[in-house]
Amino acid sequence: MSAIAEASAASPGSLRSSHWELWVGGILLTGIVVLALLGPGIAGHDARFVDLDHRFVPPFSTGFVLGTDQLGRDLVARILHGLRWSFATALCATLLASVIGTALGLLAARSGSLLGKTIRQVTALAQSFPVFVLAISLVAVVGNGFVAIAAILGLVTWPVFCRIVQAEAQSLFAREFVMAAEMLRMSSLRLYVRHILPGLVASLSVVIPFHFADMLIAESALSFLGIGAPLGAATWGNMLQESRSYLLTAPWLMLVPAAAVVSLVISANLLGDGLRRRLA
Amino acid sequence: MTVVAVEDLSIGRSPSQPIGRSPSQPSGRSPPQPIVQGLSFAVRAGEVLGIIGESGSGKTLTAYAIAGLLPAGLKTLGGRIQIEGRALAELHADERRALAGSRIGMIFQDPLSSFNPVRTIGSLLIESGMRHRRLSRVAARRQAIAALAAVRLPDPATTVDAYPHQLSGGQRQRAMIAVARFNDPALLIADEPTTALDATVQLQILALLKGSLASSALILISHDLRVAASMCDRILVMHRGRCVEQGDAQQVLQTPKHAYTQRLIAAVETLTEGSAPACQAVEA
Amino acid sequence: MNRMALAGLRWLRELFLLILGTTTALFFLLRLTGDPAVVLAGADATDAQIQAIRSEYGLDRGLAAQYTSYIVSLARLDFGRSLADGTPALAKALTAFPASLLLAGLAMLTALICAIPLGVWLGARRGGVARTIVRWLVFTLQGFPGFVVALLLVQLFAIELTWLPALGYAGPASWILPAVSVASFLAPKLTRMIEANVFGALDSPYVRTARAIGASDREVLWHHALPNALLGAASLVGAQFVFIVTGLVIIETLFAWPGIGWLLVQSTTNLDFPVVQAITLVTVTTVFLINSLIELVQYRLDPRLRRHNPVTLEAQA
Repeated sequence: MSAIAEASAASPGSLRSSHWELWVGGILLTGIVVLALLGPGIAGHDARFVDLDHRFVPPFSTGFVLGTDQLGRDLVARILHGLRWSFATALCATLLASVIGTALGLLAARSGSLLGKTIRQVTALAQSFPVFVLAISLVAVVGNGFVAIAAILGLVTWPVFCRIVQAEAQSLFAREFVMAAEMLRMSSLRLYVRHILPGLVASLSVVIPFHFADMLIAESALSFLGIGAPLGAATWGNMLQESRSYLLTAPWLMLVPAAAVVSLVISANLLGDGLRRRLA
Repeated sequence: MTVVAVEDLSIGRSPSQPIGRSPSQPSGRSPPQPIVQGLSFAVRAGEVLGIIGESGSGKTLTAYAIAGLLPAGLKTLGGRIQIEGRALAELHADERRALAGSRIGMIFQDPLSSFNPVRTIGSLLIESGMRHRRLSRVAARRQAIAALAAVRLPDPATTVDAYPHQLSGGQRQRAMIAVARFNDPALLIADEPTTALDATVQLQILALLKGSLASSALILISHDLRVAASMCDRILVMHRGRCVEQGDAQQVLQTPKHAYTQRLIAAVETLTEGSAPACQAVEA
Repeated sequence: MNRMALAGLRWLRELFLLILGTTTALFFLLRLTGDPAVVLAGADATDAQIQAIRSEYGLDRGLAAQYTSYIVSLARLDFGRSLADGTPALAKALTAFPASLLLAGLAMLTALICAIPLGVWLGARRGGVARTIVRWLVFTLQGFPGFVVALLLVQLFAIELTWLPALGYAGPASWILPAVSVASFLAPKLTRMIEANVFGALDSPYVRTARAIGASDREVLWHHALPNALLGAASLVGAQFVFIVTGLVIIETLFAWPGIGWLLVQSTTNLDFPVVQAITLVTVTTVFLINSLIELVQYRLDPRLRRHNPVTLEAQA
């Protein structure tokens, strides 16, 4: 690389080493995953246990680290329960969308076929399509519940992955080593697995954390609107919705789940940003 | 008259802004090698100096240092540069900026990316004229059309309002020369002006350059010895940031003293199958 | 002229495909869980009511016949009647539309007013420590989902300080919190996009040419880098517009803002499917129209896109 190019290559304000974001995001997420795996059990209270003697206990009180809500339920337990729900839903939705999107994207990258053209057209139209509205319509028909929500979110967001995979795959197909492999009559499956997929890993790795964050927000939003997780279930969205009636008297009922959502989203964004600097 | 005089020039990373290094590196490290070191040369009015070398030899950086275009993170570490007798280091930032475009004209390698795609060709000329010659917009536009005609662009009155993507590569490079020459600079620097062009077009552009000299000095940067041979009065060969040989063009090409220069010439001869580097006079 | 006609036809075809695709999707959506009559009749309908719905909507006929009559009635703009109050579904959706348009417009304006100056400032690389801090603030804000921002704003400005109303749609004071909340869906991302564009523009070769003719830092930024950077950002901004719809749905519900998003959530909760259908179509069409408008504006402004009128200079390179 010429001296000038090296000197001018500075990504926006990356005054610090790119490893910073990657490590912090990664560690935070790992910690959160551990919490999720440990589950609400560590809270010492049951998430659904209604304790009318201890309603509206503020945070940092003895016995209730994050306080209790309007029905005396321990917030730590509820937050952990919500963590499991949100994390699992977002993860499944992301996995589903990435698998479908990658598969369709690979098909779409093959210019010739009618199938490819159709997928490309659909993906292009999907770009200006308000998927959240579609998700809501789907929930109206199919119902809520973990599987339904995860499936719906995954099924409406595959175009994100499809677009990226399609673009990358197209440029990969045009590169010489792939043409060489094709000339050697390598079987399609082997071609895809050995040559194309590794090339996609970098871009996919960057998109996945961001998509995970988006799914998280979408799921919380659905719960918040009352369309997501069943009412009464301890999810962050539900907790935020319920907190609205008590904003004056018990603001921590809103602040605690809000902080939880924000922390998880920021961790995912950090990881995504770190990966992007590392791999792009 | 000496237009530009360079003495013992060194260019390197500015020590306070290490590029791409994490702050975790201990600051007691010795500064890295300068990219250009110990360079000295001078060019007189009407003279063509060719700076020859391979990619990464530092020739473009030298040009940028003279024109004041060093990217952030690089600076002149030592030595002097004098333009028309004035030392650049002693000039105010504003005075230095006033030189660019009025006393120094620069022609870049890739004419497509060197023009702003959303602005017309003429806008650059008009801006230059209004800034350095205090012309009114109307007068500057007239001069711009004249300048485009002088570089033999067809239909200059329309071209002045054209966008870069509407011209061919050769036409864009002509326009670039028009911009560089607009305020009659004392020094013209052409950085690989023909590398991005088709072979047929290259000769025409070089002819145009040679013809525009008048009383200006021209520094022609190239990695192509044949280009240097056809155009230059003197040649300076750079290798890894240092000058390895400098002198009269014919002498350097026919009796090279340094091993690197000999290798360069040998490489060209292999390509042209043994014939001596063509010293064709380029029709102006 | 011919070229424009062709482009117009292509646009119409896209619009047609979009609407056809959406309506077909909705058609099959309804039949996903088996009996659409049950869904349409509502949660606690009697068998007689379900049967009435079935014959009214022709759901006892074959699938092809159903689809045909479905498409035909949609072409006549007959979206059926709301199950909640019997009013025509399309009319109900369109009544709620202006309020959403107002909120969307205010939100977009707010987002741009914040994002453009901030993005330009950040991308122009001045400001040292302040710049780093602001960048991290923008990044952090991106982690706040819009409804969290709304709740926090309500907590601060409506509950604690009581400066602004927490609900409703009456007068400009009630516009502020909802508009800012919807804007927060977009503003951080827009800021980073504009920053990246400006930053990239400042590194480009044509900026070097500008400096070679003596342009100052200020002139480089305003006359050479920004026109390019902002034009480039325009298409990115357009692509983000669709997320305003998401914001509208959530924020309107939060603030009881009588727009199309609020109606959608209500209708979904009530399983008022004809209205859900009407809203979906209205929304999809509107987003498409707005994106087309943005593309048109871009086409007018960006010379590179107007390739069809090259200056016919002779090939005398």
